[in-house]
Amino acid sequence: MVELQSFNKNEKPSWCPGCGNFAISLATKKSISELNIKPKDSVLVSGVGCFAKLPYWIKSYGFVGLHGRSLPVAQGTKLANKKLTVIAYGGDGDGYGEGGNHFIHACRRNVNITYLVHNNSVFGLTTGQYSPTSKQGKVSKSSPLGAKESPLNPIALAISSGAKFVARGYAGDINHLTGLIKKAIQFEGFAFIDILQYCPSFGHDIKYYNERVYRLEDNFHDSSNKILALQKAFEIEENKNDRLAIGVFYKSQ
Amino acid sequence: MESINIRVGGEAGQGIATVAKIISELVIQKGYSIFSSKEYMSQIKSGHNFHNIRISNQQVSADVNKINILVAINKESIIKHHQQVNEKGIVLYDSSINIDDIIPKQNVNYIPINVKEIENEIKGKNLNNIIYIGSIIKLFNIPLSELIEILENKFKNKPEIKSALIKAAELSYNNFNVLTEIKLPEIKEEKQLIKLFNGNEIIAKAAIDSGLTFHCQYPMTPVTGILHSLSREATKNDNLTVIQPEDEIAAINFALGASFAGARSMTASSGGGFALMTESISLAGMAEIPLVIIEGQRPGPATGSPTKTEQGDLNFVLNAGHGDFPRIIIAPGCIKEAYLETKRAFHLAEKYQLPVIILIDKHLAESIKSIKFSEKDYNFLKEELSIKRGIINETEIKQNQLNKNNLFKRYKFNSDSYLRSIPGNENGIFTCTGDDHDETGCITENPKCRLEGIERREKKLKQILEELDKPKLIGPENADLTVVSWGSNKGAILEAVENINNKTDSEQNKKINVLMVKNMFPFKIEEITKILNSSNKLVLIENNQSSQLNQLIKKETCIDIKDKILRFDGKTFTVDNVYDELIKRIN
Repeated sequence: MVELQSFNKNEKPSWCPGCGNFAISLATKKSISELNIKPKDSVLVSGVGCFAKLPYWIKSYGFVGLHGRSLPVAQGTKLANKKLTVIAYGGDGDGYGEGGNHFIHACRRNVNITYLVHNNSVFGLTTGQYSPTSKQGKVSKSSPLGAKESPLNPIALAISSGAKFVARGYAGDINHLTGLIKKAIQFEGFAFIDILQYCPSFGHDIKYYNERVYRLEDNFHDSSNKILALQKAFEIEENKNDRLAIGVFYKSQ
Repeated sequence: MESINIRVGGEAGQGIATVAKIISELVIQKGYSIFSSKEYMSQIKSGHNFHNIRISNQQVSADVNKINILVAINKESIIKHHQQVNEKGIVLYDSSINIDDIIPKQNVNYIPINVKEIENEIKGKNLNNIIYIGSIIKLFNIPLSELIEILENKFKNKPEIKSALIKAAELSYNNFNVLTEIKLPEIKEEKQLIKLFNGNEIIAKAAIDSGLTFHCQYPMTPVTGILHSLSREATKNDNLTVIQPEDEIAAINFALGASFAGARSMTASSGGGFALMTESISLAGMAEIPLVIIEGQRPGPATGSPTKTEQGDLNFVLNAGHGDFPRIIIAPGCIKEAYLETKRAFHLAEKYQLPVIILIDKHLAESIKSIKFSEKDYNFLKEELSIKRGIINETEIKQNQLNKNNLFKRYKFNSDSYLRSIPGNENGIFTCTGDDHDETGCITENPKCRLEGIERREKKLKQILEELDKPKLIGPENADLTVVSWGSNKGAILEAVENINNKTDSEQNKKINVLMVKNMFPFKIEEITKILNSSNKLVLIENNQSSQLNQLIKKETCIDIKDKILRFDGKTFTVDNVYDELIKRIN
């Protein structure tokens, strides 16, 4: 058994108090330790953004590269040493904006890595501009009259790009998220989790998500069916109750 | 230099590459040296393309203007090239082409070849290339059996195609009975093991010989051949992974991720794709990740002329990437140097842990040359490449390389050696990063760490400079004129200079020597300054419009070479171009 503490570092994270990154960081450490993976055999790869500092504060190998480029680095690392457990991190700006092309092709390529996107629908580190997953009409410093673009649908994009493990997690439900990350790491192939994340400084607060989030597994969702998974993925655009499903949308058998 | 120059012209898709390839293989078996370049258009079918094959009994490394044998597969090829055929030269053309409206050049023999007749006789199609080859080898007095042997080998698994080709070769060989004055020069040396390589193939070979385990490249002319060679190699080499990614940004980041994990890693592109990589080159500098990048220049800006040649990216490569960080840029001048310098690139990349760029151009990447491989070439840096990779294992890590939290000081300050750990190593945990960082790679905004980091990285340049080859003048000391140039111009310049220096007529006894600058960065300021200052008269030769090597020399040495021979029409210098220009300057 690998102790959770063995992933702890002395340095104190610089995230805002109450940031969702603390929860995602803890879920990562719990997942790896519960799967008995040692710090020396895990590699955490990120890009640029608040989320991207995560590898600095977990004791394991880390690679903090360029904005939007964690996926190519992580795939290269895994292909060079298949014994490693490689987790790539992205943000909604970093992974869906800057690195959108890499995301599509990583889904197609199916290299055995895990991809976790911290999705808080806002640019944090650059102080609050609208992001690729912000709702249309979102007012921000760079969209004073409201964002004109419709939001990107990461779950639908991943499924239609050929990803074989597609899930959504929530930073406010650490145990559920830990379960998802463990499944993603154990999945033999590219496993993607879009993680809803509150941002106390610029985005929605934890209350906003708590009111909307529900678990797919409580709703008899058949995650082996690609078409049903896609339908579920589009719920976010269609349903009037503004509900947000979390859990495994699609997993190829 | 005695040589025979064959030009094969036709449309893309008519098989002119096959003619060039088989003739080259036939003559190198006999001990000849060849140099073969090609000019083609950026399209797959039709358009006008041609290959030159220059055959000599001495080492040959450049193109010449004059043609001895023109193989014109279509009419356009006669019109475009027959004026370049020299006296007593010949034009072989398809007898179905009507040449009544072409004014023949004097003293050139236009020989129709009955392509259709032979094809009809053996009921075959698309045999024109082998039919021309049959005629040429008859003219060279090469036994038919040698051609048949090559065909037997090449088409082992395609018996029907093979038998049609052999029949066509026999018929054309036997039908060709024209007497010409064209003769291959006599072989002086013993037969040696000679192989044909173009620049792309030799770089792929050097990478494999250096222990390459990971290559990631998006296709782009003129270096796509590297991707092809290595993809083929990966099918039989379990240690090699080759990936064709979604774009060049992915290509370099895949390669960086693999290198971080311990792979010996490479990527390649031309100017446009390299431009996309620049942010990541800066990352490689900051995070100290070993990486070899091949940049094959073609004429820009933007898409430019994708299939032509130029040396217009030197300034860009020197400055690619934001911020101050060390890099190495080496510009080999010929196929053999491309082999040796690529090996050196892998060695230096890992020893100093930084990006190393091999700067070539289309003329070097895609021209074919016969080279003799010696044990010495093969063993070049072999030991360094197999042992000294800067990777430290867990038992080698000493207490003073760990911080108080038992993290590895991957970026140790005040250190002369650069040791790294790779994932999987128990005591070697660190963060590889593009942020300013402490010794373990953890992010920090402490200015002391920033300054220590900069000092650690910049110090590498001084050490590297001492390890690089000293620049040397080629040719006689105290010459009347010194030619300064770089890259693939080397072959044409050396042959032209040799021709001038060997001239025995009484009025011309002036001598020329040559400085080929190979190490673009770090730059050998002292040695180059000394050479330039001690020369009598300088002339610069470059394949670009703004004399980018001269800009570099001026910046580093304050010496401005005023006399410049520049070409930037998408073509390379021939021996004749250089000869004519230099003769003017010494008379």
